[in-house]
Amino acid sequence: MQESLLEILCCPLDKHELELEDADRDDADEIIGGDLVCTECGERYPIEDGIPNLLPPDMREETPA
Amino acid sequence: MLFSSQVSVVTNDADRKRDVATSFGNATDGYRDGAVLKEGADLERLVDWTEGATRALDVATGAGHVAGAVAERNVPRVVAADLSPEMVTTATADYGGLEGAVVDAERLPFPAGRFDAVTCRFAAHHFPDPEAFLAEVERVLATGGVFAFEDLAAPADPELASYVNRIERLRDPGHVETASPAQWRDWLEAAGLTVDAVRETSRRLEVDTWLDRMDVPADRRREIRSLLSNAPAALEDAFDFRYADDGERLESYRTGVVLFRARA
Repeated sequence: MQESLLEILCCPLDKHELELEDADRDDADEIIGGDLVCTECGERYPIEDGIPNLLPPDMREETPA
Repeated sequence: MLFSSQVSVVTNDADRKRDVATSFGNATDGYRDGAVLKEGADLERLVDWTEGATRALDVATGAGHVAGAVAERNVPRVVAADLSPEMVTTATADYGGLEGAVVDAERLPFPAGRFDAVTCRFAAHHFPDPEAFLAEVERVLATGGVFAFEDLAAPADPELASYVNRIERLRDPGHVETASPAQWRDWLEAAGLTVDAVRETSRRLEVDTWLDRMDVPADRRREIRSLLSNAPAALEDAFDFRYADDGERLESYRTGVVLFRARA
């Protein structure tokens, strides 16, 4: 994902802003891994293979394939 | 009665949605190649309705056909969102210029007013809580933004509707409920969206192809075939059943489809 996607993402639970942590970037500066962390509730949403997974925790697969 | 199967317990919803994500993850190839979903005047119409948008969201994008078509119409930013990570990967790999996100349609991870177009095509019958979905659509749309929506439509007669839904659920365990156009209109208006165009149409489904697309196992195929053979005459008429030359085997039928354009 491009960092600019962050501008239009928020926490699905409380709709507060997300902060990027532990970002892994490729040569083209695309974010391929890391976590998006809610600045309010602290919930962490993983970025997997460059795609942010913003499913609420009760819907997320426990172990990503 | 029609909507009695809707589940309200959050964990049940979450389990059901996980099942949907899994079954669609497995069916990715069938969805990517399905001409029924990739082509059609209805797809064009839906995309026409997003004309002039600057930032669009396609909810339950599947293989990305709608999101891709919207991006091709010069909408500069298009987010392709789906419950299944596999689907989002497929969509963003197959169509250039899309941004992908894995989301729950009923709890969207976007701030209020961020989009001027939201699309959703042939997916809402998988949503356990369509009203929660529409409330989220209304929230993420800017004032005046357009919601371009298409889904299967159930017959107005509740008995026929429940018969159809029974068949659909056998074919696809992730199927929740196909609603009637009147029900959708009520829900849209209740969510604060103003309907400004409605199209009721239908599409002919070849029964075998339709079952192959979801990889339906043999026992459930037999049950579906039996329900179709014993369908009430009113359904046979409403859905324009067409049989093979022997007059026995149902080859295809027409299922209702509805498109809405609504504004926030």
